[in-house]
Amino acid sequence: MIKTIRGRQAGAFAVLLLGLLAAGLLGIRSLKGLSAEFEAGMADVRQASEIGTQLQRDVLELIFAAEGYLASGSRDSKRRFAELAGRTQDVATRYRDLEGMGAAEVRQVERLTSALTQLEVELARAHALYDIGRRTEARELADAAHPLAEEVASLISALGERQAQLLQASAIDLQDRARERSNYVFTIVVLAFVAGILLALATVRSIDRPLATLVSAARRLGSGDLRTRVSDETMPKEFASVGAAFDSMAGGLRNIAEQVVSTTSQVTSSAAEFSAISEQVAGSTHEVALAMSEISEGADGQARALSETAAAVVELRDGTDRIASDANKNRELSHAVRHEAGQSQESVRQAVELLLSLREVVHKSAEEIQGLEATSDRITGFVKRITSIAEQTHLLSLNAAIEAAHAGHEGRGFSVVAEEVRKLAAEADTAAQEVDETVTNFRKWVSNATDRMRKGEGQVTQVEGVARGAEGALDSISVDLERIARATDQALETVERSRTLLEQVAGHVETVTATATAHAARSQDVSAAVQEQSATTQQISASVSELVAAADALRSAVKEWDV
Amino acid sequence: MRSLHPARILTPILGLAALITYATGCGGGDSAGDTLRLGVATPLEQFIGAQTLRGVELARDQLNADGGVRGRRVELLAVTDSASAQRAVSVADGFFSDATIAAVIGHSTSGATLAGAAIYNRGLAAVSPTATSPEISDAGDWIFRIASSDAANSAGLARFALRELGTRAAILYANEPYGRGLREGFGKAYRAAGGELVEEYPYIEGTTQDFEAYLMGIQTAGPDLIFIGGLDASAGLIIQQARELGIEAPIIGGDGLLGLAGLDPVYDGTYVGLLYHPDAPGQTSRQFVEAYRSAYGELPDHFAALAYDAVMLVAQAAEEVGIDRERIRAYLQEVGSTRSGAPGVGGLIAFDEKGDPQDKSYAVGRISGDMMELVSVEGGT
Repeated sequence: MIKTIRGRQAGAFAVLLLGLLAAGLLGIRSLKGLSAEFEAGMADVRQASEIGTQLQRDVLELIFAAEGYLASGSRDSKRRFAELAGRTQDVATRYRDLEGMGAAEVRQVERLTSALTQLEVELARAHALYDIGRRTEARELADAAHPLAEEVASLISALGERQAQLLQASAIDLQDRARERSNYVFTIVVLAFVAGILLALATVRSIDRPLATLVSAARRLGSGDLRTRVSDETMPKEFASVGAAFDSMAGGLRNIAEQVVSTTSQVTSSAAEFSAISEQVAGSTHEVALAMSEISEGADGQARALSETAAAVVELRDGTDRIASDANKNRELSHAVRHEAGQSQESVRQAVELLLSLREVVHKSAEEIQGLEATSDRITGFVKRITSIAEQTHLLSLNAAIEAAHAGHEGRGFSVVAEEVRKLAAEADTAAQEVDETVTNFRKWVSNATDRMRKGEGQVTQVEGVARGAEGALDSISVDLERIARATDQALETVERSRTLLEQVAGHVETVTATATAHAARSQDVSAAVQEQSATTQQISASVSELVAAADALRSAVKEWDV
Repeated sequence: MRSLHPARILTPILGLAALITYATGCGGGDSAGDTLRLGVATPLEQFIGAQTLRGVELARDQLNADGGVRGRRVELLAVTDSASAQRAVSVADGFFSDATIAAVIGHSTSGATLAGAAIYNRGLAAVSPTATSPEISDAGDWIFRIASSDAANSAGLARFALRELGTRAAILYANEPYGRGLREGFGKAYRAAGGELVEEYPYIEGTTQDFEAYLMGIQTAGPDLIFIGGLDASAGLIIQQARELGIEAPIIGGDGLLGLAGLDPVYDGTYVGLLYHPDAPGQTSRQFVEAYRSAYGELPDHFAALAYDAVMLVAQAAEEVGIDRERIRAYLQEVGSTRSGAPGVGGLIAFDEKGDPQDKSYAVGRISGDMMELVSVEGGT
């Protein structure tokens, strides 16, 4: 037997569902099977009826065309007959492919084919007779073919009927099977339904009974009967666990009630003692609070002073940092300047060397020019001699001319020579004077050049002096810079040391400040706590009074409990 | 001019010798492992089967003389189907179950080929030398044939008739599938090419005796030619009665009329469609005729020639792709499409997607005494 309500419910549903599922599956399968059979049956019937219809139509048309030609001689009818001839047999042979064709039916089809063949031949022969004018014979032949046509018609309808019979048989069979299946389905559904209802009723009953027991027990417990118990082995599992919980709750309640009753009297007596003590505590706490308040203020002042000191130290440290950074910049600057000075010194030295070589060149040039002056002096001497020779020659030529004049006609040739000599002397004199002029100009130029050179030499000497001075000055600058760099380094070192010291000092000051601040805060906390405690103590006093009153009320209340 | 001997007298003799099963190459102790074994299905006890057997054996002997296929000897397992559909099914089943059979040459007749197709389509290629029914086109992926379909042949006859005989034709046809097929093929092609059909008359093969009314009707219409779609028995009656009535129009028919040659002078001048003629041009054909004549002492007919072609084609497939049923089928399917066509003594073989030969040449002969003159070769390459 199932012990739980859930189990019983699940069981009931499962039975119902299984029943319905089985019924559904069976129904679907049956429907599918039946519908497939039905489809197949219908397809066969459709095919059979198509073949039958087409065959009937073709045969009728064939006979109609044949008779039409015999009646009217229309070529169209004859052509139509020729077209249809041979086609009907092909349609008839399609009967053979149908389902459910027994040997008897196959023979019928063969008979039909052969009858159609004969019919066609007879009608064609009738046409031939008609064509050659033997119309009576043609008519007789066509009439003789009527039984064949009737046989064809009856065979077609027999085959159709046979198909219809087959269909009817299969329809009846189908119906029987459908009825059988539907009976199965109905039985399964009814059985499942009955089983489900029975299980549901059992479930309802197994809830009702234990529920009533629980309700009455709860009522008894409410009215103060703490000894009430409901445990029962026959209950369903869910209710059995509710009953056990109820029992343990009732037991717990009973224990609590007992303890409450015994504790109440103790509480009442100790509450009074506690009230007195708490009032004393309240008084002393107030004093402590006042003292703490003073301590707190002192600590605050100390913390503020230390904060200021710390700020000063920090400022000092910042100043030192700035000095250090300036000194650093200084040092970098002096290094740069020293480097610059070194480079300048080198340039100056090169310039001096250049100047010295220049002076040498100028000096040499001056000497060479002075040599030129001596040469020009010699030229002047030479010119003077030429001039005097020219004068003497001139005199000589004059004398010669006079002598020639004296000589008369015989002296005429000589006179010409004398004249030429005089001209020569004049030209030489002119040339000498030109040379003299040139030399004089040359001398002037040489003298000017010499002067300029001397002046230049002097200036070069002056520049050299200046350069030498600059070199010296740069040397001393370099030395000074070296000294400055060293001093800066020392200063930096000193600053670094000071900074370290200052940082240590700042650290100490911060620590001290933090400690002082913490002290101040803590003393404030203590002071607040003391004040709070004082208030609490007063509340306790008040509560104790209430407690005493409550204990009295409780004692009177539990008197009614049955424990 | 050469003559074709019906040689019907051979039939019972060969039939007795080869009844049920005729296995060639026996006694050599050859295992299937080093041979190419081909099944041959044909009515061995009938004339058709005897001629077919001559063709396949000539092909086998030539192949083996040339070193076989892939170095293996060619072996034939010939079984009679008696031209019966029922028997054809059990023959096909036997071949299919015998794993040593690589492919089948057969069957010779349309009915047997159609019946066996259901078995062969499970995975064994069958190459029919002479089945001509249009229905074989749709018989399945494993069925091939060397002879062209009646539909194609009758179209070839129609082209010849229109070109050589005239533009107005009368048709007499046997009112059963073979005759109706010829009537439809001939009529359609003749009309399409511009010809006119003045009369179309059905008769019942072997039953209809009196064609007078039809022939008088035809006489009235006065066609240029008469086409007979049927077999030789009824055709003989028709021709006799026509000539008695004084109808002079030339008469033409399918290979069903082949049996009329040499029976009676009244049939002289009748045109007959032929699947093969020994005078057909081409070196392959001439060499085959020579070989056949030196082997059997007479000229080959179409049964022998097309059977010879079938064996040579299958051997070529096995040589190319190996002795494997599926690979041989795949090869045959490609002949004439993705592969080049195979030269045969009966004309180039090129299959369409249904396994029918395309553009196969079709000979037209004329009965002259007991000989068949070659008049024209229609189509082909």
